[in-house]
Amino acid sequence: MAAIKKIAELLSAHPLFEGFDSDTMEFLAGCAENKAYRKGEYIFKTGEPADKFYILRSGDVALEMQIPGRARLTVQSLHTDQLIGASWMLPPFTWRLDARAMTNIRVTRVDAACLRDKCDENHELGYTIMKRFLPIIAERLQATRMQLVDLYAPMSEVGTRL
Amino acid sequence: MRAVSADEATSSWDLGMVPRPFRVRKNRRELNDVVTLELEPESGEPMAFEPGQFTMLYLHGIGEIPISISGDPSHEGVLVQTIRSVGAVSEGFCNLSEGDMVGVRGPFGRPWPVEKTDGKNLLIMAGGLGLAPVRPAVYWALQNMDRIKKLNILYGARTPDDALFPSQLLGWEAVDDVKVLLTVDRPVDDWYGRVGVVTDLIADLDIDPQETIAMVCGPDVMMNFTIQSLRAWGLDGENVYVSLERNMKCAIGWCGHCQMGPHIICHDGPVFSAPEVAELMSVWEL
Ligand SMILES: Cc1cc2nc3c(=O)[nH]c(=O)nc-3n(C[C@H](O)[C@H](O)[C@H](O)COP(=O)(O)OP(=O)(O)OC[C@H]3O[C@@H](n4cnc5c(N)ncnc54)[C@H](O)[C@@H]3O)c2cc1C
Repeated sequence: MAAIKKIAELLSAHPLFEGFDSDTMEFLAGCAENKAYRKGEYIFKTGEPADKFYILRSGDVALEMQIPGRARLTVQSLHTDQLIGASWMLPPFTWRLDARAMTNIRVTRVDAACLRDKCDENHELGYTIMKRFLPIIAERLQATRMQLVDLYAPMSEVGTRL
Repeated sequence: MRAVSADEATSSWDLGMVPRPFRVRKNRRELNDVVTLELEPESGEPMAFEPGQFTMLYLHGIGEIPISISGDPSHEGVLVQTIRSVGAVSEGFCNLSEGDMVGVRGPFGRPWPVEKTDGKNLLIMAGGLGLAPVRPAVYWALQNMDRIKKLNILYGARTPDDALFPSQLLGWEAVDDVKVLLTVDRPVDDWYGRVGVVTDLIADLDIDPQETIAMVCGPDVMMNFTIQSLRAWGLDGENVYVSLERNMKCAIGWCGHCQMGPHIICHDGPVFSAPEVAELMSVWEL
């Protein structure tokens, strides 16, 4: 019980869950646990069921793609306080990327399958969760577009300058 | 356009039309296609400048280009300019050797408003070669840490190997009240740093946006995106400055080559506050 309380406190201090009522926080904390990963360890891999999400409490994580015949490619890095994983929200509920600890990390891991069921039952909660997660997803999409533009490519390759 | 009075228009020299001879003291390769030149006046006064100003660099028989000054404003004896080879003239400058002569006009342009940072945090956000035009403001800040609260430098590069001035970035980071964060778009295998766009780094700032002045330099798209992100973070647009480095010819506000809407960039800029250029920045090929 004390552990759940501690996790509830940790989670409610995060902007994602700011202002949630105590029942919801207790429910979320009941589906959550604190975990540590060592540098180099995978948190999840592409294709595995996406039934969790993680709040990175300390350390750095790389989101990577494995491309056959090429070195693994980091597409984005995540850092303290950031959310890891949104694929739990959308069918087919499988990870689209690998997440690997770049340093020793600590996370709060939330059982998203259980939250998903709760959201299906309680649409108000579901809508609130969507509203909190969607801006993060949109921001990451926008950042990905910016990376695609390859802003700093040399003139010889694309024709930009500074 | 700028009106020049008869008194003011005494000679082409006074108007900054005639290049002064400078000699290359050093040509340091920064990246594959980028060099930093150290230039010394052949005679006469050293060139005093303010952070954010630029010169017109003339290469005999080839042409003249605007280049921002990237050196320390307190070191007047040497003019430092960082140049990427993109065409005939800039390539010519990149290939210069010690002892070669060039022509220099300037310095020109409205500088970064460093005096506005008194008692505030200075946030520098740069992308790619955009670190060069803001480096003089960094030098200024490092020499005036008693006047500002904190100096934060957020820098985005294409790859770790494309980061400009890497050893300086490390050195700055070691100074009290200075935070330097680097992110890259494309990491290499042994890169354990950040991957993502420069605006991702804003989340790591532990300063009050209301107490911050931001100076932003990089490709237009990066600056546009950064202005939006800084606003979302809580920074008032009036406190965000950008450097517009559109091409120009005369550099003294006469020819209109660099006119963008109501602004003659060489004369009214290149540094502008975000609201001054909000509409212009999103116009394609202006
Ligand atoms: C105020 C100001 C400060 C600048 N500071 C720096 C600096 O510190 N370091 C640096 O390397 N460059 C800087 N530039 C850009 C530099 O002036 C140009 O790269 C240079 O004029 C190119 O000349 P060129 O003859 O070598 O190439 P060109 O043959 O004239 O051009 C080669 C290609 O670059 C494009 N290009 C040229 N100039 C620009 C520009 N200003 N904006 C967008 N595209 C351009 C052209 O369209 C062409 O496609 C600055 C420009 C301005 C206006």
